[in-house]
Amino acid sequence: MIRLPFLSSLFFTVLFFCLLNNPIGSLPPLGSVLAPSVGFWQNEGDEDVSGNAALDSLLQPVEVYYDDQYIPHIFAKSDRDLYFAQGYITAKHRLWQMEFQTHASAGRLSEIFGEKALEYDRMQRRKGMVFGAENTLKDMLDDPETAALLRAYTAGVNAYIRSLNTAAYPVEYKLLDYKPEAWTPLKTALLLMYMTDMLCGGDSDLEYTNALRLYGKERFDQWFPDFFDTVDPVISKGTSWKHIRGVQTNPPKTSFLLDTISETFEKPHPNNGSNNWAIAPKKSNSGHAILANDPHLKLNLPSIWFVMQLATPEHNAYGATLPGALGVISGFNKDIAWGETNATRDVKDWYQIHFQDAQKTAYRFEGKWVPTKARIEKINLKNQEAFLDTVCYTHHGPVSYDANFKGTDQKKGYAMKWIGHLGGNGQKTFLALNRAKNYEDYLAALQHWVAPAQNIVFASTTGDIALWVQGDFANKWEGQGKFLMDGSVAENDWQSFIPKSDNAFSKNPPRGFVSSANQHPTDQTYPYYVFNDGYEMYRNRIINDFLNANDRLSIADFKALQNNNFNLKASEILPNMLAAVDPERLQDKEKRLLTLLENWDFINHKDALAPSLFAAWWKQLYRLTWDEFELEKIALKKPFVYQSIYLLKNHPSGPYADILATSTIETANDLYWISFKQAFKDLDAWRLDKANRWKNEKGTAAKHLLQGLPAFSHFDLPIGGEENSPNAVTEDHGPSWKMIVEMSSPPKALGIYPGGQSGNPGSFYYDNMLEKWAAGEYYEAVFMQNETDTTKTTSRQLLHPKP
Amino acid sequence: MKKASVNALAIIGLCFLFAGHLPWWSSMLAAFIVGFSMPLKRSANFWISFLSGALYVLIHAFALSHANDFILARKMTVLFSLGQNIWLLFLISALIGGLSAGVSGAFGKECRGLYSKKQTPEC
Repeated sequence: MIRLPFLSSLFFTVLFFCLLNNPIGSLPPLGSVLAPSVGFWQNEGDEDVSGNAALDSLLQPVEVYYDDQYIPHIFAKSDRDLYFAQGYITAKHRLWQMEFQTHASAGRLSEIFGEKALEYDRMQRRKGMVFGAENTLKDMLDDPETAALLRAYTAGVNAYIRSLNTAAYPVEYKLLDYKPEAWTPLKTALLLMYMTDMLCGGDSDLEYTNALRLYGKERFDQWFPDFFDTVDPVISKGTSWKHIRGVQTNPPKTSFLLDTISETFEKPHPNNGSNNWAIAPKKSNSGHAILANDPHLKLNLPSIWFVMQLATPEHNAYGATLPGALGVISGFNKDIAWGETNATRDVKDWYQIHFQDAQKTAYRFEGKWVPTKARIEKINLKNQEAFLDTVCYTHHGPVSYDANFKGTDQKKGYAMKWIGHLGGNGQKTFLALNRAKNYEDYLAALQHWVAPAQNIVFASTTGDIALWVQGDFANKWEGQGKFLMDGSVAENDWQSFIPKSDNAFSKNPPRGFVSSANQHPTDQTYPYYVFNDGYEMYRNRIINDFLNANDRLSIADFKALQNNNFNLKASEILPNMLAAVDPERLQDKEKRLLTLLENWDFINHKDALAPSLFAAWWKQLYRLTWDEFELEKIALKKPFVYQSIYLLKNHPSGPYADILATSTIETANDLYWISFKQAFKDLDAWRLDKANRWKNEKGTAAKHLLQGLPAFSHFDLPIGGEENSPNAVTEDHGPSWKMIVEMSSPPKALGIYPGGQSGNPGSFYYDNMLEKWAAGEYYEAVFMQNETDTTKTTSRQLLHPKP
Repeated sequence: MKKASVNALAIIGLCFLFAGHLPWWSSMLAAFIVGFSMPLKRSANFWISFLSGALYVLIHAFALSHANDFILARKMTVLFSLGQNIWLLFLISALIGGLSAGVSGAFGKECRGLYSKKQTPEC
């Protein structure tokens, strides 16, 4: 007979096992997470960077040295072993991030988070992210060299994954209760798509279509001009376009579609941007060209970048890599340096599609019914049945919006035409840049670049500087792609591409420098149509003014410029705002605020109060100025800040200035006054003490990729700057990698980024650079000349083939 | 008392032996094996297993975390809303480790009792 003690002990054993083995509510499985044998305690510490590792697939030994910033310096005998080792070492430090980002790109987060991620996953699938990645992969595999190195990288990542037991998994896997899967070449393509989407996945065609319908062409053109009243373009004004042979596409006779669209995809963050510039030896104190680059991206932890040195007997490169992609992305080698900023361009257009019936098996094109291709997207959900979503593909691209997603009409849809779907072997560009020795090699490397369009800056030890606005751009007719187009007419299709040789560039210009900060690529004389798709108008002028004003520059000047917190926007509008405020009508405390603003030097210093006051006032002013854009159930985009300021200053009585909610007709001066009163109506909230200092108002944070998981994030970083200053630090965006390279032989470089080399929140190197980054300081790059140059290394690991 | 000490040492030893090779329930397995092979009087198996499991967790977790200045433990206290009290985190981990080992140790003893033709004399 079974005894009661047996039954009760069995019951409690099973009960405890079940309770501890499974997540409860928002808690992870406590048994595995808290067990010291396999749980998070095992992640206390840094990754092992010493000793030997015997690895399958490696052909010859690879030496990996680490410096005091935990930066690996990899010395391999061949490219194949080098990229194998890059995959292995990157996975060692960033495995969870690598996989998570590719899951996010592929729309697979529901596998981890369940139904709450389903909308996001559907969006990714309907954007055609996997479709684009597959096309990219095909182009990479069509090139034998890229294919071989991509496979080597993949093997390296997988060699590391195979070496792991449960205890060694990154802590995020333990908390989320899943396991890493094998890396594949497609995942590298997905990572590249993740960046492509981040940098050129935005557009406002449907929002502009709504605005055009609501406000008419005259107002639209005034509010959203193709060119602002002034430009200081990437390729400087007055550049000759004699080399250009192609001509702009002639416009068709079709008219715009004035459709109503209620909801669109979430757009990439507008603060994704960057700065880069290079000066020629004649402008340099040292007589060497100097190059700077700082990509402004989301301040994620683990950091978006991973710094490495990648060397073989044939080449030796150092700089920021992207976990999941091969080679150095922004960096230098013994002969050249390179870096990128986003060359914002309208490379995503929308076509209205008429389906033959609710089955969506065919769509109208040139008077015929053309079959669609159905792609069934299977989205696996954690602990639930898979969700199936059928996405129809036309010759334009995926029909992202239809009756099943953000639409209502069974026979109507909106198809996306996006450069991101066209594939390309951009990976080869970086492989080639890593071993480039001169301008010709740089130029050859750039020929493989398709998307996202980038301003790729160059400097060499021989004194050349250059910058190409590079990518594949449709040769559009005037106005093409600004609004929704009729997808049933062939003449609305992209007709051709601008030949790469016709892309705008500058090499050794007379002014002695090249620069870019996401501004307009060219002035209006460029022979092809370039539509203003949100070009930056402040950072670029500060940078160019500085570079123009100084004949001789040093690394110290470059540091100062990268950390420049000047608020040019405020300097151009605040005097008008202040002039409209009558101090006699203010309370004492309001007068104090006004005085602070009147005495402001327009520097967004971290400890200043005035930037906080201006930001609050400007926020209200901008909202009031464009109150006509705050309509429910209609997707709209407000005009850009620069144009808003231009209108306020130059057309103060324009119809935009009227506040719809009032019966009177307001002008710009009224808006300044009303917005001042509204911004500071809660005077008690403005204590004008520590709490209102700019760094506290801004609250810059470096947040963990898991939706800013507070435990693994850093908040309230003490740093100045704002979105339009060169030091473009906002709440969650900023210089994600700051690099300065002086092209001596060998080059000398400084670099830093907001985070650390390790992806492990339990490592000292997870976030060790944050403090210095916020203080505007840098680390000197340890650029080893060969594997015996070990004076500044702290440890060595030997990767060797398995016997 | 001596047998209890041997029992406890055996559980802790097995826990360290299994660590990294078996899933999180290795401490339950260790307590079960020891409870089955070295049954104690009345509820002693539960208490010895509980204390051994908790002690193992404290020793192992402290060794790992102390060597790293408790960097991750501090962050985990934020995750679990423990007011940044790492000792509370140690206590909770030890309690969970102790309870799971305790019940499986007691279960081990009961299994031994169930399947032994002749009950092993209890000490």
